[in-house]
Order: sequence, then structure tokens, then C-alpha cells
Amino acid sequence: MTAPASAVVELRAVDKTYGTPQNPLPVLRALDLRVATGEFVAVVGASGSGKSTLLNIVGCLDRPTAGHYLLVGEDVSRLDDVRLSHVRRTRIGFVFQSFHLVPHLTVEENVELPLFYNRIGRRERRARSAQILDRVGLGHRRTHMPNQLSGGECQRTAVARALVNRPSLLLADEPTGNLDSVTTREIMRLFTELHGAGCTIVMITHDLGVADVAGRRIRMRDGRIEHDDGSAAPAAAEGSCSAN
Amino acid sequence: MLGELIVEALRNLLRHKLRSLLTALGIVFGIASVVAMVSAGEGARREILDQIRELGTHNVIVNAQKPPAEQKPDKEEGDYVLEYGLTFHDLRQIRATLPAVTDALPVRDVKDWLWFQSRRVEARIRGVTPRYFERLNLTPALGRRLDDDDGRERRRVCVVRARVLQEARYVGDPLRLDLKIGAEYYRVVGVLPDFASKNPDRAILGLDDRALEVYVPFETVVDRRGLTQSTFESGTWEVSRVELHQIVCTVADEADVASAARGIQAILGRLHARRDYQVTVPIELLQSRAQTQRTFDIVLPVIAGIALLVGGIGILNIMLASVTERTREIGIRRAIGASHRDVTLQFLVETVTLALIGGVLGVLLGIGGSMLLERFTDWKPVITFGAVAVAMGISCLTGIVFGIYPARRAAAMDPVRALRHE
Ligand SMILES: Nc1ncnc2c1ncn2[C@@H]1O[C@H](COP(=O)(O)OP(=O)(O)O)[C@@H](O)[C@H]1O
Ligand SMILES: [Mg+2]
Repeated sequence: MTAPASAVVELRAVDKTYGTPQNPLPVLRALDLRVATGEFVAVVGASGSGKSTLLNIVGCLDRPTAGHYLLVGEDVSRLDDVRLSHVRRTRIGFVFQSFHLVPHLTVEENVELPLFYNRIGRRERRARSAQILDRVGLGHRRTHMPNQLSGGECQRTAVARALVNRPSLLLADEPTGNLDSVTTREIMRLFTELHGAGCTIVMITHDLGVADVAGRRIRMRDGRIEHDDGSAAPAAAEGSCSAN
Repeated sequence: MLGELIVEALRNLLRHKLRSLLTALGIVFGIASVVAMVSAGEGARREILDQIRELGTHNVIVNAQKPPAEQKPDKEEGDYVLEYGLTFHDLRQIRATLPAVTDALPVRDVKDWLWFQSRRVEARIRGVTPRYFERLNLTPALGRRLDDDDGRERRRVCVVRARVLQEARYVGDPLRLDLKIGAEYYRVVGVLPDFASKNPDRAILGLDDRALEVYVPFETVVDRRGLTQSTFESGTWEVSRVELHQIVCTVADEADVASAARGIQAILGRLHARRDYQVTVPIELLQSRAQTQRTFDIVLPVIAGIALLVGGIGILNIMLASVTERTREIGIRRAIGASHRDVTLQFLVETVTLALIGGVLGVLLGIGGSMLLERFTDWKPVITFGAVAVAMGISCLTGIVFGIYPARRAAAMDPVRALRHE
């Protein structure tokens, strides 16, 4: 039976505590979460409730203080930096609120960065970045610098960069937070399409309209999951977020 | 991969051209001083070697010396003859008793005038045997050396320094010149190049930097001039009798030179009542001069080290600032999948690239400085491939040493915090 094993994310009793041992500052408390392949999850909640912290742990940017995290069946909660970096660049795609493009690199160079860290040769990098930029509708902006782009174009570049390695999981931390309503709709259409193509997405948002696009909603409060719609039937059994 | 990192580093450095240049300046001057000093040192070393080679590293040179305490008995006695120096007997004894000495060559000097129409120039006329040219590495630029037939037939031929022709203002074919020495004409058969550089040790050969020398067959000199010579010294005519002015002894093995010199000292000590000779060992001069050179070799790395330390700290300082300035970029790269190592390597490559650029500029500046030294001082700097390689190696090392800390700091950043940094 592969059904239970097809969870992309499985958090078991995860704690995250900042501060000093004398003055601990718990941010996540005994958090359990399971995201199945092909799900589109929206995380909502008040500012400071621990959403970004959760996403950073799910994205292997940070490690839980206690508990276990299984990513596609592999326990990554105690991996060292080299392994964790490897997991990040093969399994995870990140999209941030403020785009986080490297300002002195062109659009295509930004998109190619994850491939570079995956030791993929120049020519293949160029081909794959061209393909994915076409996919997000930025084929004509390849050699532009980020400061020559609009906010929507920046975010689409960031999405392209997140997808270029065909990750198992696309993570977005308030991806529309800096965008106007028109470009927000644009980006959400892109996410919906990706989800439709089988991509597993976890997205933080403040915008309830945006959250409605997702198949499943999680509300956080004080480091705990306050409400969870529960897992809807996955849209597809596709294992990774491909560019097509 | 590394190539792309270097290209990326260059791009980053070029984004802040002025800052990069100023940062590299310390390295530039450090490396320039290394190159200039190594070149000057190498030049000095080669000059010493050349100077000693002029005397021959396998040679022991014995010179006749006017005994210092010699007092003329009475001025009235006009026919007093000052007798001193080396003798044919000395030469025979050295040849017969010292197996280590493979060759011992006699030299006779005569001071005389060279006549060029109405002008005259005083020159040293050296009576030498053919092998003398080999022992002292004298190679004619034109014509030939003296040979055995010249001596056997007592020919009136000579080999001159180029300087002699210059003094004569002779512009024709040198090998067609009949040179008037005193009252006699000698046919020029060879021309030796002038001395390339000054050499304080040249006096050991009985020579000076003026290079007005004329070499004639030993037998010819003995035959035509006899063994006594009158010279006009400090207001009076002095008549002296010196059989040999110099004996050039050659030892086959460089290691035996010192002991052979002691043997020669012992023989001459037995044969001579007075100190009317002096024994010189060129290779010992070389060793003592090399000792002086060594002081320079110690001072050099110290100065260069200080310069590079200053340059390195400059680089360290700017790279630390650059790391802080690029915190967010570091966070982004980490989020995308760059490991500790990737980030370390990126910044290390950038620092080393900067240091190497400084190194290249420093080498160029050093070469330029050496050329200026050569033009405006009597140093003769020699730029070797080795010096340039060492300079580049040092700049690379400086880049690594002072780049490792900022690079590690960049890599050690917490990615989550780096991403939030603004
Ligand atoms: N590195 C940190 N050190 C200390 N406290 C932190 C750190 N990161 C986050 N926090 C705290 O954790 C809490 C949750 O933060 P975050 O996950 O960013 O919330 P959200 O994304 O839901 O607004 C906040 O109170 C924040 O101040
Ligand atoms: Mg947040």
C-alpha cells in the first residue's frame, strides 16, 4: 500500500524554540502536520503565529528543536548542513514575499542558480531556464535585471527559479503580499495551474481570497494548528512540480 | 565550476571598480616591492657570480707584490735594481710538488705607451701563454686567441681589449691594425670585449676597469723586453727586476682549491725570504660576498611580509564589509540550495581573485620599478620567471589566508536570519 507513504511532508510533534535556555521563546509547539502528494495547502493566521517558522522547517532552511520531520519518507530533522542543502536544492522550491532575487544577476541567471548548485552544466542550465521562463511568460525578459521588472514579473521569475529543479514541494511565504490585485490574480492563476499539473504546494497568505484557491486551509495560532480543513483528495499522483 | 566562480567573482569586483582597486592596492605595493627586491637581489647575485667567474672559480691567483719595507740603500747608487716577485723557480716548484694543481701559468706585465699618431696612451702589456685565455674565460669577440705557435716563434702579435681600439680612434678592420707598443709594431689578431660591469676584484688580476690591456705571447715579452724594467715613479726612475708578475694556478676540483692554496702558500713561504707575493682564492671571495648577499635575503622577506600583511588586512576588512552588505544574497543562495561549502568557496574565490589581480598589477609595477632602478642606479635587476611565480604564489596565499575568515563568516550565517536581513 503506497497511499500512506505518499505524504510529501510529515511533521511529528515538532517544537521550535528560540531564545536562551534560561529564557526560552517557544514558537512552534508539538506541531503535527501531514501534506499528501499533490495537495495545495494555504496556511493562514495572525502575524507572529509561527507560519514562517513552520515553512522554514518544512523547507529545510531551519531544523526543529524537537520532534521529527519526514520529507518524502526521509527523516531530515537531524541532517547536517551539506545533506540539508542537498535536500533543499533537489526537493524544495521557495518563493518569498519580497521576491528575493539576486539584484546583480539577470533574470535567467537568477533562475539558473539552483541548477548551478546542482552542478548542472552551463548549456543545460540555459536550456532549462529558457524553457521555464517561457512557461511563466517571461521568455522576453531573460536578460533583464531584476530592477527592470515589475513586481509581478519579479515574482514570476522567483516562481520559475523555484520550479527549475523540479522540486517535490513548492513553498511560498506570502507570495502575493507585495503585489497589487491584478498581479495577485496572475500569480494565483500560475499556482493553480501548477497544482493542476500535480505540484504539491504549501503557501502562507494573509489574503483569504487567495487562500480560497487552495484545496486545504490551515489556521495557526501561537505555534499550534488551530484549524485544519483536513486533507482533500489529492488532485493527482504526480511526484514533482514540473515545468509543463 | 571553478571557472564560473572566477567569472562571477570578477563581475562582482568590477561592479565596484574603485573599491576593488583601492582594496588591492596594498597587495599591489607589497608584490611590487617583492618583485623589485627579488630582482635587485638576483641581479646582485648574478653580478657577484659574473665577477668571480671573471677570476675563475677553479683558480688560485698568485701575484708579485712589492715588499712594503723595502728601502733603497742610497740614492747615489744609480744602478740599484729592485728585485722582488715571483720567479720561474716558483713556477717549477708549484708544478712539480702540487698534484692538485693541474696547471700553473706565468704572466709578465710591462707598462708601456701605445702610440696613435701624435697621441699616446699608457697601457698594460701582458705576456701570457695561450691557456691563460681559457683559464680566465677570455673569448675574443673578433679574431682569435694567442696560440702556441705565436709563442714558439716569438711573433709580435697581440690581442687587445676593444677599449684600446676606441682610444686609438681606429675605425678600420681591427685585424689589420699594426699597434705601436713602445717602439715596436704588433699585429692585432684578436679583440676582447670590454668589461661588462665594474668589478672591484679585478685588481686581483692586476687589472682595473679602464680595460686598456694588450695581450702578447709570454715568450715574445721575455725575449724582447728582458726581465728588468725602468719605470718613472714618484719623481725618480726606478729599475726593477721581476721575473713573473703573476702565476695563475688551476685546480681540477673546486673542493681542492682551498688546500691547493695552502700548499702554494707553503712552497712560496719556503722559497721567499720576504712577503713579495700574495695568494688569492677567487672562490673564497665569492663565499664572503655571498655572505653579504644573505643579509639582503633576510631583510627582503621581512619587508615583503609586512607589506603583504598590511595589504592582506585591507582585503580582510573590505571582504568582511562586503559579506555584511551581501547578507541577503547569502540567505537567498542558501535557501536555493547552496551549502556551507558553496558559500565559503564563492567568497574565497572572490578574495583570491582580488588578491591575484593585485598580484598581477604588483608584478607589472615591480617590473616597471626594476627598469627604473636599472636606469637610474648602477644596479642591474634581473627579473626571473621564478620571482614572478613566487610573487603570484604569495598573492594567492595572501588571498586565501585573509579570505578564509570572511568566507567562513558568510557561510556560518543562519539562512533564515540572513533572508530577513535588511
Ligand atoms: N530567529 C528568531 N529569534 C527569535 N525569535 C524569532 C526568530 N524568528 C522568529 N521569531 C519569533 O517567532 C515568532 C513567529 O515568527 P514567524 O514564524 O515569523 O511568524 P509569522 O510568519 O506567522 O508572522 C515571532 O514572535 C518572532 O518574533
Ligand atoms: Mg511570516
